[in-house]
Amino acid sequence: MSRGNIILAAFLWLIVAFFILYPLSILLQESFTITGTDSWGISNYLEFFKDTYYLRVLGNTLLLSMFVLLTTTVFGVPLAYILARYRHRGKTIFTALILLPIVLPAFAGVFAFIIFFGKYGTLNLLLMNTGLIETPINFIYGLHGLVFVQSLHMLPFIVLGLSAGFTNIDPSFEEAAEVEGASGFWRFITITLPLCTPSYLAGAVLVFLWPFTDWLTPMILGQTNLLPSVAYINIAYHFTDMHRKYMGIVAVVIAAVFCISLFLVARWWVEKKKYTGLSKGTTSEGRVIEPGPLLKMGAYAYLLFIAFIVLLIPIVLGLSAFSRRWVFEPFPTYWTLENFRLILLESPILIKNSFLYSGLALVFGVAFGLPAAYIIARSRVPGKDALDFVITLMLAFPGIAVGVGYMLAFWDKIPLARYWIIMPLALFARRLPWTFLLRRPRKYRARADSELFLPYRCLCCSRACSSA
Amino acid sequence: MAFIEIKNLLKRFKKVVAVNHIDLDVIEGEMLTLLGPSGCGKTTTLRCIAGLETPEEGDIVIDGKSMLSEGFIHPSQRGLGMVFQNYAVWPHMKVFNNVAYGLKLQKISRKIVQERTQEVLELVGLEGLGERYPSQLSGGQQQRVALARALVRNPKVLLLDEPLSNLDAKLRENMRFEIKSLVKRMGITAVYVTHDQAEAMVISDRIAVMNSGDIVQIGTAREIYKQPANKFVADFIGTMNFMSGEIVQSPRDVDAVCVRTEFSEKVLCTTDSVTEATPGKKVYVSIRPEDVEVFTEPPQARENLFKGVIVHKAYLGNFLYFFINVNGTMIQAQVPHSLPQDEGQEVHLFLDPQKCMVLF
Amino acid sequence: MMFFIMAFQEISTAIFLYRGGWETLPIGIYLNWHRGMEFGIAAAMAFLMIVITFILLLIASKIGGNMLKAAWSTDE
Repeated sequence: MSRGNIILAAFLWLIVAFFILYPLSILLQESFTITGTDSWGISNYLEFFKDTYYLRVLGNTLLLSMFVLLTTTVFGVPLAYILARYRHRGKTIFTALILLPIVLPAFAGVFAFIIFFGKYGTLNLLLMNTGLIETPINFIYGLHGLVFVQSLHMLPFIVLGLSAGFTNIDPSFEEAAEVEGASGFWRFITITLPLCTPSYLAGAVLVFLWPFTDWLTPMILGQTNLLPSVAYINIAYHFTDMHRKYMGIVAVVIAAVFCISLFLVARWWVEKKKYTGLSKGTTSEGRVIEPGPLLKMGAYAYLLFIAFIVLLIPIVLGLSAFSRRWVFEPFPTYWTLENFRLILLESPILIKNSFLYSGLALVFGVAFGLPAAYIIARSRVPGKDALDFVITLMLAFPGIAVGVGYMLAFWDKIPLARYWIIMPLALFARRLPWTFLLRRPRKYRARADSELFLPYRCLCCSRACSSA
Repeated sequence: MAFIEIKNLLKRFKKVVAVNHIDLDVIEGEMLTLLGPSGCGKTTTLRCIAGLETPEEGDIVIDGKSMLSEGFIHPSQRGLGMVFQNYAVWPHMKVFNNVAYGLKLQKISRKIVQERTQEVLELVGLEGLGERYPSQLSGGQQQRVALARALVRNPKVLLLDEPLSNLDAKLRENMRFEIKSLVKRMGITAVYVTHDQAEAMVISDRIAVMNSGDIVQIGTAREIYKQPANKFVADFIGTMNFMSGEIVQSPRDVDAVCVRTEFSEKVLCTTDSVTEATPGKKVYVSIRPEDVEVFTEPPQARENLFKGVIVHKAYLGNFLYFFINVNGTMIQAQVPHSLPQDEGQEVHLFLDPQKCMVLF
Repeated sequence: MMFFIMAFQEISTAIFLYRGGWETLPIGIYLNWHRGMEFGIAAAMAFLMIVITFILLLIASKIGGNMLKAAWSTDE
């Protein structure tokens, strides 16, 4: 243990303290502040849990989480199985397509689906034109639409985790069941699936937490009675009403606490149950089977179906971007570059800002991530595990909590938020664990807790694939 | 009457031939070992018997019933139990459920399942551990769980794929005898796969030595050790001195030949395969280290007497081990403690023609 | 690379902190939707973001050679 390492670690801790712990503690402190006074108390929380409105909001969010998890699981299990086990052509391209939603911003999906599935969207108009339906069907606005959009966005996490699980299981586990007389489906239910639970759970926890984080999709779809949306509306629209603002902050804190606890429970459970450690792999590619012709057709159709929905996003957005007044018609009729002209002429600053802030955030990220990875993996500085822990926790932290925390913390006392540098700093803080994770040496990543990061690691792969 | 008949079995993986048209009979109640280096096709043969691989050609008959020629018989319908190399004990199930899994799939009453499972757990020495999870057991105990699971349905055939390779040395030696006595007690026909020749010799009634997809020799441990079919078998089973040479003289007697080697013009050997021993043929004169006789003074024998210098001397407990240089050829010898010679000293070697084999 | 894309798409954090002149593309999209349902421009911006993302990925994979290798090599 050298002096340099201690100084380096102390410096990293300082950064973490100032850019993460401090704003979050301010957030927590504000949530306890009683309106109109300087005193503290738990009255905000009491009110939150007494008010049927907020309780219903919490219930709604939980319900949405369950629906999203259920949907992603029902669609994800066969998808992962097909991708991991079946020998078929175009595996790479299908994998890339199905994982595509993570590369796309969450809101891109909503816009595209509104255009396609909306009340006077392409699908409804097509159906009406063919005379199949009289009045438009509400495909998208409402809870079902929300479940659909969020599920599609989170589907890759389930698929990645599970297909890694399916691939990594030692084939002899299933062969033993085969010899013992278990039929294909029964074997899948009793052996394969249970053995995959750790890798499934790693993805599932992120899926379940997404509705606690995503406020924009519900708002666009007109579903505002969900925890993150309520928090956002309370804080962003009612800045004059101090009481509502505090309630919003309370909602943020509750969402954040919920996310972190669930994340930790999942991590603890995965570590306890790591089955993979028991098997000694015999083949590297796992069990690959040649499905029967009927099954194969079904699998292809299913893959194509999912791929089609995913591809709708860029296609519809592209069509819409190059057209004008695309309303009441299934396909655009008037093509134009007007939209791009407007963007480039009137607001090139947006693009410039985007690049500038993200680029700076990346610089901060690398500057922090490299030494952090070094300290945690290679040195024996005391407290390095705590550092690892805090950084990892940020994975589960809702972005809205970081935003609000920054807004509160860096306005009055430390007026950092008055300068534009706050933007890249916030982006950096928000994605802290990513820089850190990606820069970890391989040896270190092979640790037990890597189970939970598996989806993240696969993410990088998928991103590269999707550019193919 | 063979209980398992393998006829002309061929299995390819892509272009690589894993099992090359082999024929093999396993007698009822016998414990037969497939022995060979990794990649020799032994595991593939076993998996073909189990039905986990579908061979391209040939047939497998178990207890008079064809597994392939009249339609593929599913592994579970072949009446066999299998123990996998990594045990394949399901980590998410308790020991009891692991063992009872196959029974529960049959339509039998819960009570019988309960009784039968307890019975088998006792048989393998796991009584009282049924409620544990596999992760709470030692490697040896997990091995027993795998064994119990394979035995619970009263199989006609037990297949074991390197079942001991993941255990530590001491435990492995005990388990060899345990598995053998258990299988013998139950009277099951067993096929055992291993790359460990000592294990094969302890556990099996007969050994089939395999090399690159072929069965090179089948026989009891003694037959394979004493009369190896070729250099590969002799080298794989035990230690052997090989001295390459050329046959110089047609056999004078019925079963002896003279071989010219690098260290001597004439080494007299006995051989069974007189017909193949034509002059000019390249062969290996082979003798086991324990058959090499070492003397301080020249003995009375007339033939196969050589002088050599001790290069290395090792003390191996019950005997000494010498590496002796005979005109540039290194010969290993296992000798009693009574021999006082040290490294660098000269000794006399007698290679008994009766014990010198000619191998190809 | 990954980090850059994530930062590029970030909105939750940024939405609370931006002031006039600091808007990023995601915020621009949000504002366009929020103000007057200007779908065309919002869609165009979203499309632009997708295109930029793809170009970035392409560059990453060109530098790293193999696509998959490129993704993994960001790890080191």
